[in-house]
Amino acid sequence: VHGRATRRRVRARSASRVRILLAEDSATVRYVVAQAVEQLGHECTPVEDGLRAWEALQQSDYEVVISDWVMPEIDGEELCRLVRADPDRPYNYFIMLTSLEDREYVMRAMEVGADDFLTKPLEPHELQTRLIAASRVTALHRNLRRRQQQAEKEIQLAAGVQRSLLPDTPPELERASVAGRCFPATNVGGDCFDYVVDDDGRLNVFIADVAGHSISSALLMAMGRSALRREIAAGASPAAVLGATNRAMYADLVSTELFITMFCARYDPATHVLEYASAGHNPPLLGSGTDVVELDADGVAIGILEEVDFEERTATLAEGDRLLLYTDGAMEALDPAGEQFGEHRLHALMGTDAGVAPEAFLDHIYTAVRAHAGDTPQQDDITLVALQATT
Amino acid sequence: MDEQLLEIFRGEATERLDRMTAALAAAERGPIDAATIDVLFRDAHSLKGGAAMMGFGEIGALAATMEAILAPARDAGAVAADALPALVGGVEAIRAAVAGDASALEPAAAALARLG
Repeated sequence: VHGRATRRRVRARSASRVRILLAEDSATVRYVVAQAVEQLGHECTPVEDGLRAWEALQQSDYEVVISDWVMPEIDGEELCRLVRADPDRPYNYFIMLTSLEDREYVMRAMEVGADDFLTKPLEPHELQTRLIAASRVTALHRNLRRRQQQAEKEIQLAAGVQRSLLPDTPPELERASVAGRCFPATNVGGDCFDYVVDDDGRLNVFIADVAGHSISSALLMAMGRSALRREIAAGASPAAVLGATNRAMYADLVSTELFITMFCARYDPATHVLEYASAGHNPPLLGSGTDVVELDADGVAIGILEEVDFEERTATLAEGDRLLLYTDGAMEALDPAGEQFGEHRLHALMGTDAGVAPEAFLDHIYTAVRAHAGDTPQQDDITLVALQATT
Repeated sequence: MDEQLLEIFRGEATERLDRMTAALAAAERGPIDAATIDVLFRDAHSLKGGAAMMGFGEIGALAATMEAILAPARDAGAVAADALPALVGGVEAIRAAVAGDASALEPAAAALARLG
Protein backbone atom coordinates (compact mmCIF):
# COMPACT_ATOMS: atom_id res chain seq x y z
CA VAL A 1 0.00 0.00 0.00
CA HIS A 2 2.77 2.36 0.95
CA GLY A 3 4.67 1.59 -2.29
CA ARG A 4 1.68 2.34 -4.43
CA ALA A 5 1.08 5.64 -2.68
CA THR A 6 4.70 6.66 -3.20
CA ARG A 7 4.53 5.74 -6.83
CA ARG A 8 1.44 7.86 -7.32
CA ARG A 9 3.07 10.81 -5.64
CA VAL A 10 6.19 10.50 -7.81
CA ARG A 11 4.03 10.20 -10.88
CA ALA A 12 2.11 13.32 -10.00
CA ARG A 13 5.34 15.20 -9.51
CA SER A 14 6.91 14.32 -12.87
CA ALA A 15 6.67 17.27 -15.20
CA SER A 16 5.18 15.47 -18.18
CA ARG A 17 5.06 12.00 -19.58
CA VAL A 18 8.10 11.34 -21.71
CA ARG A 19 8.48 8.55 -24.25
CA ILE A 20 11.84 6.89 -23.73
CA LEU A 21 13.67 4.45 -25.94
CA LEU A 22 16.14 2.36 -23.98
CA ALA A 23 18.97 0.68 -25.92
CA GLU A 24 20.81 -1.72 -23.66
CA ASP A 25 22.08 -5.23 -24.28
CA SER A 26 22.06 -6.28 -20.64
CA ALA A 27 18.68 -7.70 -19.59
CA THR A 28 19.46 -6.74 -16.00
CA VAL A 29 20.13 -3.11 -16.84
CA ARG A 30 17.10 -2.97 -19.14
CA TYR A 31 14.86 -4.23 -16.35
CA VAL A 32 16.19 -1.81 -13.76
CA VAL A 33 16.09 1.26 -16.00
CA ALA A 34 12.67 0.43 -17.47
CA GLN A 35 11.24 -0.04 -14.02
CA ALA A 36 12.76 3.19 -12.72
CA VAL A 37 11.50 5.11 -15.75
CA GLU A 38 7.98 3.73 -15.45
CA GLN A 39 7.89 4.46 -11.73
CA LEU A 40 8.53 8.08 -12.61
CA GLY A 41 5.43 7.97 -14.77
CA HIS A 42 7.19 7.84 -18.12
CA GLU A 43 6.88 5.39 -20.97
CA CYS A 44 9.78 3.04 -21.71
CA THR A 45 10.47 0.94 -24.80
CA PRO A 46 13.46 -1.32 -24.16
CA VAL A 47 15.47 -2.78 -27.05
CA GLU A 48 18.57 -4.98 -27.03
CA ASP A 49 20.98 -3.14 -29.26
CA GLY A 50 21.67 -0.04 -31.31
CA LEU A 51 20.34 -1.44 -34.56
CA ARG A 52 16.98 -2.24 -33.01
CA ALA A 53 17.01 1.21 -31.41
CA TRP A 54 17.62 2.89 -34.75
CA GLU A 55 14.81 0.85 -36.32
CA ALA A 56 12.48 1.78 -33.45
CA LEU A 57 13.33 5.45 -34.00
CA GLN A 58 12.16 5.14 -37.62
CA GLN A 59 8.88 3.57 -36.48
CA SER A 60 7.82 5.81 -33.62
CA ASP A 61 8.68 9.02 -31.93
CA TYR A 62 10.60 9.13 -28.67
CA GLU A 63 11.57 12.28 -26.83
CA VAL A 64 14.46 10.61 -25.06
CA VAL A 65 16.98 7.92 -25.95
CA ILE A 66 18.85 6.27 -23.10
CA SER A 67 21.65 4.23 -24.58
CA ASP A 68 24.36 1.90 -23.44
CA TRP A 69 27.78 2.44 -25.02
CA VAL A 70 29.01 -1.09 -25.76
CA MET A 71 26.41 -2.98 -27.77
CA PRO A 72 26.44 -5.45 -30.65
CA GLU A 73 25.60 -4.27 -34.20
CA ILE A 74 25.35 -0.50 -33.69
CA ASP A 75 26.96 0.77 -30.51
CA GLY A 76 25.94 3.82 -28.49
CA GLU A 77 28.36 6.15 -30.24
CA GLU A 78 27.15 5.14 -33.69
CA LEU A 79 23.51 5.36 -32.60
CA CYS A 80 24.10 8.88 -31.33
CA ARG A 81 25.79 9.86 -34.59
CA LEU A 82 22.86 8.49 -36.59
CA VAL A 83 20.35 10.39 -34.46
CA ARG A 84 22.28 13.64 -34.86
CA ALA A 85 23.10 13.16 -38.56
CA ASP A 86 19.58 14.01 -39.70
CA PRO A 87 18.74 17.59 -38.72
CA ASP A 88 15.16 17.15 -39.91
CA ARG A 89 14.22 14.55 -37.32
CA PRO A 90 12.28 15.65 -34.25
CA TYR A 91 14.75 16.24 -31.44
CA ASN A 92 15.81 13.28 -29.29
CA TYR A 93 17.41 14.04 -25.96
CA PHE A 94 20.24 11.53 -25.89
CA ILE A 95 21.45 10.14 -22.56
CA MET A 96 24.47 7.81 -22.46
CA LEU A 97 24.33 5.10 -19.85
CA THR A 98 27.78 4.02 -18.72
CA SER A 99 29.52 2.36 -15.82
CA LEU A 100 31.45 4.54 -13.42
CA GLU A 101 34.71 3.10 -14.81
CA ASP A 102 33.77 4.19 -18.31
CA ARG A 103 33.83 7.94 -17.75
CA GLU A 104 36.15 8.27 -20.76
CA TYR A 105 33.19 7.28 -22.95
CA VAL A 106 31.16 10.16 -21.57
CA MET A 107 33.36 12.80 -23.19
CA ARG A 108 33.31 10.97 -26.51
CA ALA A 109 29.54 10.63 -26.26
CA MET A 110 29.07 14.33 -25.58
CA GLU A 111 31.30 15.12 -28.53
CA VAL A 112 29.21 13.07 -30.96
CA GLY A 113 26.02 14.74 -29.74
CA ALA A 114 24.84 13.18 -26.49
CA ASP A 115 23.07 15.63 -24.17
CA ASP A 116 23.76 13.96 -20.86
CA PHE A 117 24.89 10.78 -19.17
CA LEU A 118 23.86 8.43 -16.38
CA THR A 119 26.05 5.99 -14.55
CA LYS A 120 25.46 2.47 -13.32
CA PRO A 121 24.34 1.79 -10.65
CA LEU A 122 21.36 3.93 -11.43
CA GLU A 123 20.27 6.49 -8.86
CA PRO A 124 16.51 6.97 -9.31
CA HIS A 125 16.89 10.58 -8.20
CA GLU A 126 19.56 11.20 -10.86
CA LEU A 127 17.31 9.66 -13.48
CA GLN A 128 14.44 11.86 -12.39
CA THR A 129 16.47 15.08 -12.59
CA ARG A 130 17.88 14.12 -16.02
CA LEU A 131 14.39 13.45 -17.34
CA ILE A 132 13.09 16.77 -16.09
CA ALA A 133 15.82 18.52 -18.09
CA ALA A 134 15.23 16.17 -21.02
CA SER A 135 11.54 16.93 -21.09
CA ARG A 136 12.17 20.68 -21.03
CA VAL A 137 14.92 20.69 -23.65
CA THR A 138 13.04 18.37 -25.99
CA ALA A 139 9.86 20.43 -25.71
CA LEU A 140 11.84 23.59 -26.48
CA HIS A 141 13.57 22.06 -29.49
CA ARG A 142 10.36 20.69 -30.87
CA ASN A 143 8.46 23.88 -30.26
CA LEU A 144 11.08 25.82 -32.21
CA ARG A 145 10.95 23.29 -35.00
CA ARG A 146 7.16 23.46 -35.15
CA ARG A 147 7.24 27.25 -35.32
CA GLN A 148 9.92 27.17 -37.97
CA GLN A 149 7.90 24.74 -40.06
CA GLN A 150 4.83 26.92 -39.60
CA ALA A 151 6.76 30.01 -40.70
CA GLU A 152 8.19 28.17 -43.70
CA LYS A 153 4.73 26.98 -44.67
CA GLU A 154 3.37 30.52 -44.47
CA ILE A 155 6.23 31.80 -46.61
CA GLN A 156 5.49 29.06 -49.14
CA LEU A 157 1.86 30.16 -49.22
CA ALA A 158 2.91 33.79 -49.64
CA ALA A 159 5.29 32.76 -52.42
CA GLY A 160 2.43 30.95 -54.15
CA VAL A 161 0.23 34.04 -53.95
CA GLN A 162 3.08 36.16 -55.22
CA ARG A 163 3.77 33.86 -58.17
CA SER A 164 0.10 34.02 -59.05
CA LEU A 165 0.43 37.81 -59.38
CA LEU A 166 2.90 37.42 -62.24
CA PRO A 167 1.41 36.96 -65.70
CA ASP A 168 1.29 33.36 -66.92
CA THR A 169 1.51 33.99 -70.62
CA PRO A 170 2.36 37.14 -72.53
CA PRO A 171 -0.34 38.82 -74.62
CA GLU A 172 -0.52 38.00 -78.33
CA LEU A 173 0.27 41.12 -80.32
CA GLU A 174 0.39 42.01 -83.94
CA ARG A 175 3.79 43.32 -85.05
CA ALA A 176 5.37 42.76 -81.65
CA SER A 177 6.11 39.94 -79.30
CA VAL A 178 6.84 40.09 -75.62
CA ALA A 179 7.93 37.73 -72.84
CA GLY A 180 8.78 38.02 -69.17
CA ARG A 181 10.40 35.89 -66.50
CA CYS A 182 10.95 36.21 -62.78
CA PHE A 183 13.44 34.03 -60.91
CA PRO A 184 13.18 34.80 -57.18
CA ALA A 185 16.31 34.36 -55.05
CA THR A 186 14.32 33.06 -52.10
CA ASN A 187 10.75 31.88 -51.74
CA VAL A 188 9.35 35.38 -51.76
CA GLY A 189 10.81 38.26 -53.68
CA GLY A 190 10.47 41.93 -54.28
CA ASP A 191 10.48 41.90 -58.09
CA CYS A 192 7.55 41.98 -60.41
CA PHE A 193 6.56 42.72 -63.97
CA ASP A 194 3.32 42.79 -65.89
CA TYR A 195 1.80 43.67 -69.24
CA VAL A 196 -1.52 45.28 -69.98
CA VAL A 197 -2.87 45.77 -73.49
CA ASP A 198 -5.16 48.80 -73.57
CA ASP A 199 -8.25 49.46 -75.73
CA ASP A 200 -6.13 51.10 -78.40
CA GLY A 201 -4.02 47.94 -78.80
CA ARG A 202 -1.02 49.48 -77.08
CA LEU A 203 1.14 47.32 -74.86
CA ASN A 204 1.78 48.73 -71.40
CA VAL A 205 4.63 46.97 -69.70
CA PHE A 206 6.28 47.56 -66.36
CA ILE A 207 9.03 46.09 -64.24
CA ALA A 208 9.60 46.88 -60.56
CA ASP A 209 12.12 46.00 -57.88
CA VAL A 210 11.39 46.51 -54.19
CA ALA A 211 14.50 46.79 -52.03
CA GLY A 212 15.10 43.46 -50.28
CA HIS A 213 13.41 40.13 -50.77
CA SER A 214 11.53 39.63 -47.55
CA ILE A 215 7.84 39.26 -46.76
CA SER A 216 7.56 43.05 -46.47
CA SER A 217 9.13 43.47 -49.93
CA ALA A 218 6.61 40.98 -51.27
CA LEU A 219 3.70 42.87 -49.73
CA LEU A 220 4.91 46.18 -51.15
CA MET A 221 5.46 44.54 -54.49
CA ALA A 222 1.80 43.44 -54.48
CA MET A 223 0.70 46.98 -53.56
CA GLY A 224 2.90 48.49 -56.25
CA ARG A 225 1.56 46.17 -58.89
CA SER A 226 -2.04 47.08 -58.02
CA ALA A 227 -1.27 50.80 -58.12
CA LEU A 228 0.46 50.49 -61.49
CA ARG A 229 -2.30 48.41 -63.03
CA ARG A 230 -4.96 50.82 -61.75
CA GLU A 231 -3.26 53.83 -63.33
CA ILE A 232 -2.58 51.98 -66.58
CA ALA A 233 -6.24 50.89 -66.75
CA ALA A 234 -7.23 54.54 -66.31
CA GLY A 235 -5.28 55.29 -69.48
CA ALA A 236 -2.42 57.27 -67.92
CA SER A 237 0.86 57.70 -69.78
CA PRO A 238 4.03 56.07 -68.33
CA ALA A 239 5.17 59.24 -66.52
CA ALA A 240 1.68 59.83 -65.12
CA VAL A 241 1.43 56.19 -64.05
CA LEU A 242 4.66 56.53 -62.05
CA GLY A 243 3.64 59.88 -60.59
CA ALA A 244 0.31 58.52 -59.36
CA THR A 245 1.92 55.34 -58.07
CA ASN A 246 4.46 57.40 -56.12
CA ARG A 247 1.70 59.48 -54.55
CA ALA A 248 -0.29 56.36 -53.65
CA MET A 249 2.63 54.53 -52.06
CA TYR A 250 4.87 57.27 -50.68
CA ALA A 251 3.56 57.25 -47.09
CA ASP A 252 3.72 53.47 -46.76
CA LEU A 253 7.21 53.25 -48.22
CA VAL A 254 8.55 56.00 -45.97
CA SER A 255 7.18 54.28 -42.87
CA THR A 256 8.73 50.94 -43.89
CA GLU A 257 11.97 52.65 -44.96
CA LEU A 258 11.81 50.83 -48.30
CA PHE A 259 11.69 52.09 -51.86
CA ILE A 260 10.80 50.65 -55.24
CA THR A 261 12.47 51.23 -58.57
CA MET A 262 10.13 50.99 -61.55
CA PHE A 263 10.25 51.31 -65.28
CA CYS A 264 7.02 51.80 -67.16
CA ALA A 265 6.58 51.82 -70.93
CA ARG A 266 3.77 51.96 -73.46
CA TYR A 267 4.38 50.58 -76.91
CA ASP A 268 2.19 51.07 -79.94
CA PRO A 269 2.85 48.24 -82.43
CA ALA A 270 1.09 50.21 -85.14
CA THR A 271 3.54 53.12 -85.00
CA HIS A 272 6.46 51.36 -83.30
CA VAL A 273 6.59 54.27 -80.88
CA LEU A 274 7.66 53.52 -77.33
CA GLU A 275 6.84 55.98 -74.55
CA TYR A 276 8.65 55.38 -71.29
CA ALA A 277 9.41 56.72 -67.84
CA SER A 278 11.67 55.51 -65.07
CA ALA A 279 11.59 55.69 -61.28
CA GLY A 280 15.29 55.18 -60.65
CA HIS A 281 15.27 51.80 -62.38
CA ASN A 282 18.21 50.24 -64.24
CA PRO A 283 17.95 51.69 -67.74
CA PRO A 284 16.51 49.07 -70.09
CA LEU A 285 18.57 48.22 -73.15
CA LEU A 286 17.35 48.82 -76.67
CA GLY A 287 19.19 46.70 -79.22
CA SER A 288 19.13 47.58 -82.86
CA GLY A 289 21.38 45.21 -84.79
CA THR A 290 24.65 45.38 -82.89
CA ASP A 291 23.92 48.86 -81.49
CA VAL A 292 22.75 48.96 -77.90
CA VAL A 293 21.43 52.07 -76.21
CA GLU A 294 20.21 52.60 -72.66
CA LEU A 295 16.74 54.02 -72.21
CA ASP A 296 17.04 56.35 -69.27
CA ALA A 297 14.64 59.02 -68.13
CA ASP A 298 14.80 61.31 -65.08
CA GLY A 299 12.95 60.22 -61.99
CA VAL A 300 13.82 58.92 -58.53
CA ALA A 301 12.67 55.66 -57.03
CA ILE A 302 9.13 55.40 -55.68
CA GLY A 303 9.02 56.30 -51.98
CA ILE A 304 11.98 58.72 -51.93
CA LEU A 305 10.23 62.06 -52.54
CA GLU A 306 6.62 62.95 -51.90
CA GLU A 307 6.13 64.58 -55.29
CA VAL A 308 8.17 63.61 -58.35
CA ASP A 309 7.89 65.00 -61.84
CA PHE A 310 8.81 61.96 -63.92
CA GLU A 311 10.31 62.64 -67.31
CA GLU A 312 8.64 60.92 -70.22
CA ARG A 313 10.62 60.05 -73.31
CA THR A 314 9.91 58.29 -76.54
CA ALA A 315 11.85 56.02 -78.86
CA THR A 316 10.90 54.56 -82.20
CA LEU A 317 11.67 50.93 -82.78
CA ALA A 318 12.65 49.46 -86.12
CA GLU A 319 11.62 45.99 -87.16
CA GLY A 320 13.69 43.42 -85.28
CA ASP A 321 14.71 45.87 -82.55
CA ARG A 322 14.72 44.37 -79.14
CA LEU A 323 14.04 45.96 -75.78
CA LEU A 324 15.26 44.34 -72.57
CA LEU A 325 13.91 45.34 -69.16
CA TYR A 326 15.73 43.84 -66.22
CA THR A 327 16.24 44.12 -62.47
CA ASP A 328 19.66 44.46 -60.89
CA GLY A 329 19.68 40.82 -59.78
CA ALA A 330 20.82 39.93 -63.29
CA MET A 331 23.61 42.48 -63.50
CA GLU A 332 24.85 42.03 -59.95
CA ALA A 333 25.02 38.23 -60.00
CA LEU A 334 28.42 37.32 -58.58
CA ASP A 335 30.75 34.60 -59.79
CA PRO A 336 32.72 32.52 -57.24
CA ALA A 337 35.53 35.12 -57.38
CA GLY A 338 33.07 37.88 -56.48
CA GLU A 339 32.91 39.51 -59.92
CA GLN A 340 29.56 40.85 -61.07
CA PHE A 341 27.90 39.68 -64.28
CA GLY A 342 27.91 43.35 -65.16
CA GLU A 343 26.32 45.65 -67.67
CA HIS A 344 28.92 44.89 -70.34
CA ARG A 345 27.95 41.21 -70.48
CA LEU A 346 24.28 42.14 -70.72
CA HIS A 347 25.12 44.60 -73.52
CA ALA A 348 27.09 41.94 -75.35
CA LEU A 349 24.16 39.51 -75.17
CA MET A 350 21.83 42.07 -76.77
CA GLY A 351 23.55 41.71 -80.11
CA THR A 352 23.29 37.91 -80.14
CA ASP A 353 20.47 35.60 -81.18
CA ALA A 354 19.05 38.20 -83.57
CA GLY A 355 16.27 35.97 -84.90
CA VAL A 356 15.37 34.43 -81.59
CA ALA A 357 11.94 35.11 -80.06
CA PRO A 358 11.84 37.05 -76.75
CA GLU A 359 11.02 33.99 -74.67
CA ALA A 360 14.07 32.02 -75.80
CA PHE A 361 16.21 35.14 -75.60
CA LEU A 362 15.34 35.52 -71.90
CA ASP A 363 16.28 31.90 -71.29
CA HIS A 364 19.65 32.59 -72.91
CA ILE A 365 20.26 35.55 -70.63
CA TYR A 366 19.27 33.68 -67.51
CA THR A 367 21.43 30.71 -68.51
CA ALA A 368 24.37 33.05 -69.09
CA VAL A 369 23.87 34.71 -65.69
CA ARG A 370 23.69 31.36 -63.90
CA ALA A 371 26.70 30.06 -65.81
CA HIS A 372 28.64 33.13 -64.67
CA ALA A 373 27.54 32.59 -61.04
CA GLY A 374 28.52 28.91 -61.05
CA ASP A 375 28.00 27.50 -57.55
CA THR A 376 27.39 30.93 -56.02
CA PRO A 377 23.78 30.99 -54.81
CA GLN A 378 21.48 33.55 -56.40
CA GLN A 379 21.58 36.60 -54.12
CA ASP A 380 18.77 38.66 -55.58
CA ASP A 381 15.65 38.17 -57.66
CA ILE A 382 16.27 38.19 -61.38
CA THR A 383 13.46 39.55 -63.51
CA LEU A 384 13.65 40.00 -67.27
CA VAL A 385 11.19 41.28 -69.84
CA ALA A 386 11.90 41.37 -73.56
CA LEU A 387 9.91 43.12 -76.26
CA GLN A 388 10.61 42.76 -79.95
CA ALA A 389 9.22 44.68 -82.88
CA THR A 390 8.18 42.26 -85.63
CA THR A 391 6.55 42.45 -89.00
CA MET B 1 15.80 -7.30 -3.34
CA ASP B 2 13.36 -7.63 -6.20
CA GLU B 3 13.09 -11.41 -6.79
CA GLN B 4 12.26 -11.01 -10.46
CA LEU B 5 15.28 -8.76 -10.95
CA LEU B 6 17.55 -11.24 -9.20
CA GLU B 7 16.19 -13.97 -11.48
CA ILE B 8 16.89 -11.86 -14.55
CA PHE B 9 20.41 -11.06 -13.38
CA ARG B 10 21.19 -14.72 -12.63
CA GLY B 11 19.82 -15.79 -16.01
CA GLU B 12 21.80 -13.15 -17.90
CA ALA B 13 24.98 -13.78 -15.89
CA THR B 14 24.77 -17.54 -16.46
CA GLU B 15 24.26 -17.08 -20.20
CA ARG B 16 27.23 -14.73 -20.45
CA LEU B 17 29.45 -16.83 -18.16
CA ASP B 18 28.68 -19.99 -20.18
CA ARG B 19 29.56 -18.21 -23.40
CA MET B 20 32.78 -16.88 -21.85
CA THR B 21 33.71 -20.36 -20.58
CA ALA B 22 33.22 -21.79 -24.06
CA ALA B 23 35.25 -19.01 -25.71
CA LEU B 24 38.10 -19.33 -23.20
CA ALA B 25 38.12 -23.11 -23.62
CA ALA B 26 38.39 -22.62 -27.37
CA ALA B 27 41.22 -20.14 -26.84
CA GLU B 28 43.07 -22.74 -24.79
CA ARG B 29 42.89 -25.10 -27.76
CA GLY B 30 44.09 -22.52 -30.32
CA PRO B 31 43.60 -18.96 -31.62
CA ILE B 32 39.99 -17.68 -31.64
CA ASP B 33 38.58 -15.24 -34.18
CA ALA B 34 38.04 -11.52 -33.69
CA ALA B 35 34.25 -11.84 -33.45
CA THR B 36 34.56 -14.33 -30.58
CA ILE B 37 36.99 -12.03 -28.73
CA ASP B 38 34.58 -9.16 -29.26
CA VAL B 39 31.71 -11.14 -27.73
CA LEU B 40 34.02 -12.15 -24.86
CA PHE B 41 34.80 -8.48 -24.23
CA ARG B 42 31.17 -7.43 -24.43
CA ASP B 43 30.09 -10.21 -22.06
CA ALA B 44 32.62 -9.01 -19.48
CA HIS B 45 31.49 -5.43 -20.04
CA SER B 46 27.80 -6.28 -19.67
CA LEU B 47 28.45 -8.38 -16.57
CA LYS B 48 30.17 -5.35 -15.10
CA GLY B 49 27.19 -3.12 -15.92
CA GLY B 50 24.60 -5.61 -14.71
CA ALA B 51 26.43 -6.23 -11.45
CA ALA B 52 26.84 -2.49 -10.90
CA MET B 53 23.10 -2.07 -11.49
CA MET B 54 22.41 -4.75 -8.87
CA GLY B 55 24.78 -3.14 -6.40
CA PHE B 56 27.09 -6.17 -6.54
CA GLY B 57 30.26 -4.10 -6.34
CA GLU B 58 32.74 -6.95 -5.97
CA ILE B 59 31.39 -8.90 -8.94
CA GLY B 60 31.35 -5.68 -10.95
CA ALA B 61 34.94 -4.91 -10.05
CA LEU B 62 36.13 -8.37 -11.07
CA ALA B 63 34.24 -8.15 -14.38
CA ALA B 64 35.80 -4.71 -14.92
CA THR B 65 39.29 -6.16 -14.43
CA MET B 66 38.54 -8.88 -16.98
CA GLU B 67 37.12 -6.29 -19.39
CA ALA B 68 40.32 -4.24 -19.00
CA ILE B 69 42.37 -7.27 -20.07
CA LEU B 70 40.02 -8.14 -22.91
CA ALA B 71 39.85 -4.62 -24.38
CA PRO B 72 43.47 -4.63 -25.66
CA ALA B 73 43.03 -8.31 -26.64
CA ARG B 74 40.09 -7.27 -28.81
CA ASP B 75 42.14 -4.51 -30.42
CA ALA B 76 45.07 -6.92 -30.97
CA GLY B 77 42.80 -9.68 -32.27
CA ALA B 78 44.29 -12.28 -29.90
CA VAL B 79 44.04 -13.30 -26.25
CA ALA B 80 47.45 -13.90 -24.69
CA ALA B 81 47.77 -17.56 -23.67
CA ASP B 82 49.22 -16.69 -20.26
CA ALA B 83 46.10 -14.63 -19.43
CA LEU B 84 43.75 -17.56 -20.00
CA PRO B 85 43.99 -19.33 -16.58
CA ALA B 86 43.30 -16.10 -14.69
CA LEU B 87 40.39 -15.25 -17.00
CA VAL B 88 38.90 -18.72 -16.53
CA GLY B 89 39.38 -18.27 -12.79
CA GLY B 90 37.54 -14.96 -12.98
CA VAL B 91 34.60 -16.49 -14.81
CA GLU B 92 34.31 -19.32 -12.29
CA ALA B 93 34.59 -16.96 -9.33
CA ILE B 94 31.73 -14.84 -10.70
CA ARG B 95 29.68 -17.94 -11.41
CA ALA B 96 30.09 -19.05 -7.79
CA ALA B 97 29.33 -15.55 -6.49
CA VAL B 98 26.12 -15.38 -8.52
CA ALA B 99 25.15 -18.71 -6.94
CA GLY B 100 25.79 -17.25 -3.49
CA ASP B 101 29.45 -18.09 -2.76
CA ALA B 102 31.61 -14.97 -3.03
CA SER B 103 34.73 -16.54 -1.51
CA ALA B 104 36.57 -17.01 -4.82
CA LEU B 105 36.22 -13.38 -5.92
CA GLU B 106 39.20 -12.04 -4.04
CA PRO B 107 41.77 -14.69 -5.09
CA ALA B 108 40.53 -14.45 -8.69
CA ALA B 109 40.96 -10.67 -8.62
CA ALA B 110 44.47 -11.10 -7.23
CA ALA B 111 45.37 -13.58 -10.01
CA LEU B 112 44.07 -11.17 -12.68
CA ALA B 113 45.92 -8.29 -11.07
CA ARG B 114 49.19 -10.23 -11.37
CA LEU B 115 48.77 -10.18 -15.16
CA GLY B 116 49.41 -6.45 -14.94
